[in-house]
Amino acid sequence: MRERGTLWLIVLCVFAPSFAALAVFLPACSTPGRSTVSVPPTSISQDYAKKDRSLAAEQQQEAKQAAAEQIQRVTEVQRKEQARRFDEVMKLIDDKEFAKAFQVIDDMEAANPADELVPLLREFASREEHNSDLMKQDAALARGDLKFGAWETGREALPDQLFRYPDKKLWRDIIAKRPAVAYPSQMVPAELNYRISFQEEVWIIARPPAEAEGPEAGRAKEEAPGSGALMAKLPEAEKEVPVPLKHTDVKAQISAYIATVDVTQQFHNPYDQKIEAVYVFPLPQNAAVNEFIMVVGERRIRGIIREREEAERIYQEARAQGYVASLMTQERPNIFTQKVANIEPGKDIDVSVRYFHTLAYVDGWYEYVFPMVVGPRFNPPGSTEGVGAVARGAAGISGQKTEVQYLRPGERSGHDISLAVDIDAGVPIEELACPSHVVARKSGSPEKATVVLSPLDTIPNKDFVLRYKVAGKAIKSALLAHRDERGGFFTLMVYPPESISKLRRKPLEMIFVLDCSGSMNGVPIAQSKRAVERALRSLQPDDTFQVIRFSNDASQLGPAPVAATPANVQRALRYVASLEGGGGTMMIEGIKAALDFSHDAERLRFVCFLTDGYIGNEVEILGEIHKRLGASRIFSFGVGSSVNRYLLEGMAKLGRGAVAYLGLNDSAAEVMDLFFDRVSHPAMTDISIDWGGMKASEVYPGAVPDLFVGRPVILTGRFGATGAEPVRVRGNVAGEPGEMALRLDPNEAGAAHGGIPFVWARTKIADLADRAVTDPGPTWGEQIKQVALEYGLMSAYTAFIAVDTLTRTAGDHGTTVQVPVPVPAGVRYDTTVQEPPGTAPPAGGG
Amino acid sequence: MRTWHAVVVILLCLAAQAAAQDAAERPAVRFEAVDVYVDSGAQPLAAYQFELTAKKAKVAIVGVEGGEHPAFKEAPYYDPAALSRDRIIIAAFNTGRDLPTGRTRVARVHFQVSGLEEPAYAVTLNVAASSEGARIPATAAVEQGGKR
Repeated sequence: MRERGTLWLIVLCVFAPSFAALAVFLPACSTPGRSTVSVPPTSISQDYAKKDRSLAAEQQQEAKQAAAEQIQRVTEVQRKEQARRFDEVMKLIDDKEFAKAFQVIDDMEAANPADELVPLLREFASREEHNSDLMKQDAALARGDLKFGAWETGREALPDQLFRYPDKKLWRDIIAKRPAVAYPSQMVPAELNYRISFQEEVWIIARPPAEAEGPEAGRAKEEAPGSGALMAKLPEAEKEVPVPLKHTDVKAQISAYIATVDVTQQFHNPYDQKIEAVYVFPLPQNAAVNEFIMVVGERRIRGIIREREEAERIYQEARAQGYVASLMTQERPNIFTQKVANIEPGKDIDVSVRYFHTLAYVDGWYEYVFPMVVGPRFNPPGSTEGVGAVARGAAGISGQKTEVQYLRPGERSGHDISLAVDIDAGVPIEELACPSHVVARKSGSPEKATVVLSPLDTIPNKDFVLRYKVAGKAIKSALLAHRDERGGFFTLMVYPPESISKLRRKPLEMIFVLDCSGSMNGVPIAQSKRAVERALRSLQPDDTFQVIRFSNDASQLGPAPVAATPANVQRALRYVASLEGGGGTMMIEGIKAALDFSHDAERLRFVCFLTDGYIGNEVEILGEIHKRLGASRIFSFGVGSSVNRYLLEGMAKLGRGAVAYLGLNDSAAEVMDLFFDRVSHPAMTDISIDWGGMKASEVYPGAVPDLFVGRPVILTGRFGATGAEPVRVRGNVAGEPGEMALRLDPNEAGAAHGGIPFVWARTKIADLADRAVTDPGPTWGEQIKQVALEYGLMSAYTAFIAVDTLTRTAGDHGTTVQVPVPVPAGVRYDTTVQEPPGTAPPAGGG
Repeated sequence: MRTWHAVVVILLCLAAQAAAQDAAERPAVRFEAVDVYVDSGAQPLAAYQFELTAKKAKVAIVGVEGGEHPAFKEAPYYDPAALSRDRIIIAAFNTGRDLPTGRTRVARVHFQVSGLEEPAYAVTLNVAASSEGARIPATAAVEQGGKR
């Protein structure tokens, strides 16, 4: 009944101005023929005419006033009702009753589907729910030892969207200051347009132990990974562990869409005896590492690229004889090991590496990523070639070839990071955002920007993600070229044809596969669930879907895809809501369950994997995808703060889909909406390229990926000539042949870049490695090694070695100390890291 | 006479033993550095490229370091495509005004040497150039040991 009343009020409100106009119009029409009657122009008639006009004006004024009063009354009633519901929602959010808050928002939507406040409130509630999780996590990080912490903003205003922990009271105050509920369009979520002023502070309140409530709080206390560096600390709050890696400095320069990155690792021996430092660290999976310099005091020694086994033998010999030496090896395309031998007590040795890589361009944004920590991997039973995750000091217990040691809850190291990115976009930069870290931006010109990591956010426990948008509605395909004595090299970013965004897709068969392993426990799985919930609500009536979960094993909502009816969607939502994180990451089970599914040939099958990718058997997983893919396409979603991008990119590449990342601070709804926008149009498939006058050769990737809306692909190759004939990109769009002609001239390429030959060689290595997965054989390794040696690049088969033959220390090599790292932000230590037997229950997750 | 024969045999055995001991004491795998000098006379040296080889012994290049003059203090680049165990091509340039003249150490190359043979190092100067990019007359020499 109340809903019907509200509906009438809305009708009145909408039509009241029309009624008023009608009231003014009708009297004028009530004397037909008046204008046709011939009346002598006397003063009386003029008076009547004046009175008539005056009356009409008065009536018009009255009608207007009545309408305005009516509108005001209606608006007032509406406003009060809206305000009441708004307060109710805010109170429920205050009380952390998020489910009830969402219910009230749903009621508001049902009462008035056009209410602009509804989506804003929903977003607000989602973010508050998310922040609530983050606050819980921070309380856990602090292990309850902290009374409070201060996040001083310092002397620089912070750019937009950098709030990791928007303070709720502050947020509410900001909203309260706005014209508020009657003007919902102005009520943009505060975090999107709030700027901290100079000298301002945001206080982050964490509960002291005595105030912690319930079993959840107690458990959170035990889960703390000990990296809550933003918090002020009491003397006994955290135990600082001396580590032989003092600092990492990162300097990146972005020109067009190629980044040149210099990373300097500053090793230091804090002990009273000689050590060998070992550090397992991540780099981008497409990094072409071609420079390695060891710095001993004032002296800089350039490392030499060698076959891996030879470099390892040289290093072992130098180490055994007491020489200062360093060795860098590749364990995965995105995981490397740095070893520095014979660091004497109190001495420093720096190692600098340089690499090049292309930036991703996703949905209108260029994205630069610097990974800071290797996430704890799960290795299937029996494997020895994986990447073990063990507690600090527990070397060797994982039985894996590579091991990462993690700081225990309550521990932190003095290792920090500084990072600066110089962007020269060539065209004006319209927007710049860093969703992962607190940064300051300095800008010299519209085309350039320097972004510097805040000194208050220097704990290396999550990926640094920087995105920027450049001016121009339509981005054109861009060619970069370089010539040297080896010949011509190019890299080309091919954008999808405009036409595909105008076509609609066929019905879909969507398979959602959620990683519910231990490493996803907490915030990551909550993000995954939000994303799948959003996706389920976005399905079209003629779509079908299924939901699969996996950890130690796989299970699913039902045996086959079901129609996306409201009832089925509701059932799926309940199923998704019931999922929890725990156990190992037997991803192969998830892949089998998803790809061996019965398939409806009339629909496009899209398999969406939501995972952090924390596994050590990537090649096995990728091989399995290749074997079982069939007609499916795989869209991988990396969920978390420091995901395994090598695996996720590889899954999407082999699965002929695309990858997307959902950070802990990202909006799951936005990421899923962009995904649906992408898949709601057909892709350009079966692409072939006629290189026209460029005489291109050795173009990689060998199989050109399909083109999706918003997702260009980057091709890199060699060219022998330049010519007038355009490059033609041919393919199929929705079954029809399509073609794009690109006028590209390497002589007039946007920019010459010395890194292009290395990018090309690195892409060739990646292509060879992919072929080793899809067509295993003995020769791929040798081919990779040859390319890597010729271009001086890191690979699985090559390594950098540097020996200072003038610095020989006394005695043997000393003690080996591995640099322990924090578990990534949002990841629980107890479900992912293996403790020595007898000290704690063995971790089962990954 | 027999006594003399016995003495000679004993001495020979001792000599052989001493030689074996000497060889045994020398590490089968050892590390050493060689310094490369370029002498451009009165002309300021702005750029160079040389090829360094090591013969007679089994060696591996394990590092490349800059020279003594500030203009060439940075670790110079090498050509990975031309790199082998015993051969390296190294090049550097400096566009500044403070350039060395006369004999200057431009690079130090670190080697791993395996076996008992001593390597024979040789350097070939491919080019030396002035700041204008003009080829200038110069000589190159190599010194073993890398004096600190």
